[in-house]
Amino acid sequence: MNNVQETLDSLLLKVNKPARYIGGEPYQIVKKEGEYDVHFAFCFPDTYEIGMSYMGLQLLYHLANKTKHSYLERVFMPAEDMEEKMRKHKLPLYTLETKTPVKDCDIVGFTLQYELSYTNVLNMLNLSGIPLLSKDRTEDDPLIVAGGPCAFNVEPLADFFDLVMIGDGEELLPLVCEKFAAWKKTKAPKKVLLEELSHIQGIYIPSFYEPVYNGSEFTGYKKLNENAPDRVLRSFVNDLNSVDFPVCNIVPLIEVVHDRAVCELFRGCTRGCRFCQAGMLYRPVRERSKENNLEIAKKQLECSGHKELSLLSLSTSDYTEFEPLVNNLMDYCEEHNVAISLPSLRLDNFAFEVLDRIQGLRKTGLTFAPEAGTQRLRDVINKNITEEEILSAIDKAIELGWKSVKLYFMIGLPTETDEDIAGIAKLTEKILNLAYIKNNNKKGRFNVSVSVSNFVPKPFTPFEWCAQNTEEEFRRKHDLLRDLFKPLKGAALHYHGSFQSRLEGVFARGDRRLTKTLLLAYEYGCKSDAWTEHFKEDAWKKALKESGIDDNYFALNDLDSAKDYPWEIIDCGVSKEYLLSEWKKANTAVTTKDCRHGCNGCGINKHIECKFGGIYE
Amino acid sequence: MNRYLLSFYKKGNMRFISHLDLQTLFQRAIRRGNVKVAYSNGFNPHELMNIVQPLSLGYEGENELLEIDTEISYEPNSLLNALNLGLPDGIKFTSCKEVERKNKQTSISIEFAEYSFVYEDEIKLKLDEFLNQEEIIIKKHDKKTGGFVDKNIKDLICDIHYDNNKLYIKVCCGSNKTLNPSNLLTSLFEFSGLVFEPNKARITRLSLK
Repeated sequence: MNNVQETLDSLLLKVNKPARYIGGEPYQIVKKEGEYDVHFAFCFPDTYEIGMSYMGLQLLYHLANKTKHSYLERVFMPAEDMEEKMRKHKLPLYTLETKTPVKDCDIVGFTLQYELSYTNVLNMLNLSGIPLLSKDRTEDDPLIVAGGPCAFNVEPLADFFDLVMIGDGEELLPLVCEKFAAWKKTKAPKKVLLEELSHIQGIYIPSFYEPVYNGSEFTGYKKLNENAPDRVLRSFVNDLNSVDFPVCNIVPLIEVVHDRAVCELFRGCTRGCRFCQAGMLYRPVRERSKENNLEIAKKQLECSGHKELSLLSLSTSDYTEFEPLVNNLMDYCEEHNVAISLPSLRLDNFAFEVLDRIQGLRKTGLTFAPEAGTQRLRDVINKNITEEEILSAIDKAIELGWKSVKLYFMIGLPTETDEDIAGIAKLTEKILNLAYIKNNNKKGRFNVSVSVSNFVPKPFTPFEWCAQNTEEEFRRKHDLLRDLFKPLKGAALHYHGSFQSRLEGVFARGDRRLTKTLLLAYEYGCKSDAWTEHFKEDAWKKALKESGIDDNYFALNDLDSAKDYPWEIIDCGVSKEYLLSEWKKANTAVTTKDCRHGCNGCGINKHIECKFGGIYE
Repeated sequence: MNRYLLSFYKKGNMRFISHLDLQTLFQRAIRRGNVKVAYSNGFNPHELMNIVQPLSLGYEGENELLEIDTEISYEPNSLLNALNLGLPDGIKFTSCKEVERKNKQTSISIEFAEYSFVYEDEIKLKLDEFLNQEEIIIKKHDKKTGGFVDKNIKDLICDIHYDNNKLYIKVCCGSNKTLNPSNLLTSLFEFSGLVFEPNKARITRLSLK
């Protein structure tokens, strides 16, 4: 094929899971040189197994490759053993399909799904032999772009990217490729392309703006290109039905995290949980029609031969035609021996009927996310679920034969006191007692697994001004929980590393001063930070200190909502006034109703038709 | 219930697909081709199929064998075509025939496997002297003790010869007596004063008999 393949032949038997690095899966797309104008390397900054489980990749792969002008190929981060061999044998990072060095592509795009993947972006650029910083790259280097949920505050990575796509990507990404193709023919400098693209909704060119600081305080941006927009509004897909959803997805040859067919029922959520960034960023709710969903799900199963189907959304049972859709799919799946998984399900009566049927005799996971231990705190975060509802759902679950349940909570939420922490243990105890009585006073019949995560305030949520707990505070709360859980037999407690959460907090609301931090952390060997076994806490702390980052500024203080913040260069469509009013209501534990019962005025309908606001009014 | 025996090849980059992943791949091919495969009874029903004598990771196979039980009868060629739908480049079924299904056990018994072997570096192997030894001892990993035990493999080697710079190896390959060519080659290299590096080797299983 080419010399990448030759080098690979001699390397692959020396590494773990060599099939991660070969491509060649059913339904991968191979285009020949000359059949397209733009060569796009789509980089997922983590391993093959994680990246191939990401629906967005398959969606964008399909849509970009459907066009005549573009060829989009996949690139993943090699595991440590492979990386070492690649560096030793001077094998550059390459695309899976045609084994083309990433450096030889026209556009190199990164999807930013979580903050702790940022050092992998640097590592992948480095493995490709591409200068890390935008300013160090020449006209001959590929255009380095990014998208995904973390692109909404891309400031910590702004100096590394030439262009950032904000919002729904299925129409925007092919459009960028099309414009690139036309520009490439003119042989004009990159600046011309960037300026043209900067006028498209959803395109942010970091180099057109320079942050201004007063001491350590961010005060705003100075525009370096007078034609650039003052703020960048995210892009929207108006109608999911008008965008092709792939039915023949690439089927991995090795086991990946999620080996399954996926169908996105709808985008957006009307629940309005105040901690949830996805709930704000993906507004408004846009449903795909039942007919389309059915066809997509069935065709994908036929095409792939998968044994599992997952129906994705932020709150699956909110789908308008949920019952008929799921009943129809269950008939199909039973006949074809396919398991259905329904993440993000609210456990009402119909949900139980469904779960009972799809799980049959083998009852596996049942997950609840009360998120907070007391009603007061659940009201603060606007998680509109009562203790009564939780207990009655557990009651029903036990009746139907479930033997275990998993509960998700967060600690470090705004206004939280030790009473709220104790509430987590109290609720767990109530569930255990209920199970004890339901199982005729026999112990050991029911297990509760409690998973506690550390709250990270995210931009574009009502909690964007909220301070994050310190590491010490998180640790104190973990200790408190551990003591409270000791007497609870049948309950297992799990929690996350405090510093990893802190780092997420720093990057979630960070700005361009973190460029130096990232560069230093990378120099000190930090990568794959989301993997506990690879996370280098000391190296990160050193990098933060040496880059002069007062991490209190980014994470640990309550912010003044009257001031401007770096991420506000992006307009996510939800207004600051709305976020602020939600923040105020949160502080007095006042809830906001699901906006299907009446518009709450988040402002999204100024940009796009909101079909679900107030439909139950 | 009917049983079919299919030959397939597994070449090129597909040599990096493990036995377990190959099973999943065939299960998906069965579903894609809408083949009415028979399932085992029990709590976790699984497809009744059997890849005869798993191939080591990194080896290519020219004539590998798959047995599959179906609920309905198929014209062998149409079954072949159904299973070939959407397989990756490098894996393909090449023949299919119906075989007698006596019981749960596999219908064919394999005793020998033939391999071809080429090596990246130029090497001089002391083949004749190696084969003329009274005993050919290899160090074999012992699962029980975790250490190594000596094993005489002389009886397991049927034939080794050169042809056109390619080494052809025929060894025992069955449920009772079996020899992995890598172990044989390691020993042969050592005897010749060399070190066998698996990543420099290209081993192809030509047939199972």
